[in-house]
Amino acid sequence: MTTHLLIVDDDTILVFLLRKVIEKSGRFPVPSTHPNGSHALEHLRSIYNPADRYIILLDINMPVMNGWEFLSEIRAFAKPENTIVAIVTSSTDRADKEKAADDPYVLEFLTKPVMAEALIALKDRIDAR
Amino acid sequence: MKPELPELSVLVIEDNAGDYLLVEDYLMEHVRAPRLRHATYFKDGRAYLDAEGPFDVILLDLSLPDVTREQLLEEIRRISLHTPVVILTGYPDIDYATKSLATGASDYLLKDTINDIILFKSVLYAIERHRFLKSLREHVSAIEDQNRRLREIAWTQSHVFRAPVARLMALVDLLRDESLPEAERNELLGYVRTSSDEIDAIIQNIVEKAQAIMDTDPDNIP
Repeated sequence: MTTHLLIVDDDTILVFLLRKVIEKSGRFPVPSTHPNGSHALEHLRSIYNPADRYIILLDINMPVMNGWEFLSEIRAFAKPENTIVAIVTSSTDRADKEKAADDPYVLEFLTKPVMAEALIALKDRIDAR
Repeated sequence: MKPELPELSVLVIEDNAGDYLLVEDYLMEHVRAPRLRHATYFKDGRAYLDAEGPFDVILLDLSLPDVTREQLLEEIRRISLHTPVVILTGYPDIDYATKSLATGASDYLLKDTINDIILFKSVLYAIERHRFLKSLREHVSAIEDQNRRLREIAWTQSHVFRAPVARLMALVDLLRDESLPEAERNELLGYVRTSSDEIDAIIQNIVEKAQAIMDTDPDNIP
């Protein structure tokens, strides 16, 4: 089983930092990066294989297609069993957290800045499933 | 000295000619130059409203030949938003008259008990209360507007302001690494600069919004 990692965030500095932390954690494959939900959706649709595993680090507030829209679009083809989303946002809004908890794909709600420890804990949780 | 107003515009919608004449007489007792309009049908009253603009008060009979009671209550609800309505009615309709108060009428008067003083007082009260409610409504809408803008600021704090702060936190964490090559350190410092500029711009924006709220303090609204 191949694991794919996707970073979906329009903040280029943050994507840069996230890649550094991912590298530091040593637990993830090299990520593909996407500036909005629509870009990530196209990519996921083109590589999606039910036998593989997809970990998606997803921002909420993005232009073109935001994180919520992305989550509703992937329902059409991706299974929650192999498509795992961690919301990564700078928002500390409680409403966002509650909304994320109700989504079948969302495993974790991470608040920026995401440190290596948080990513390692996320990976442990995914591997334990 | 009897209470008196220099002028008053009154629309009377009343299908009984005798009742109308009585109302007219009573009004003349206390208003020097009334602008009186008399409509026998509701639709004529409506036409006066459309053609002549706002009246100070509308005196409305509850049983009119061209509208049902339900229609009339609905009309009262709409009209009383901008013009005070005083109901004229008889004993048999007293329950219905009470209902009209709930839909926005200012007062109801029993035709058999009206005299000039009662009518004048009711009209005056209706006008004053209407004016007071109008200013209250304006006040409430100014406060609602202010709340909306405060919510915007709260949203900015949570969704916009935190982004560059989170970045700075992560950058500082990476910069702690002493073995970092010079070139990479400079790149990170460049990002620190970008992020702090962004924070500065966001603060400016919040300050402007807050200032706009201060400038429209609801206490200053008439």
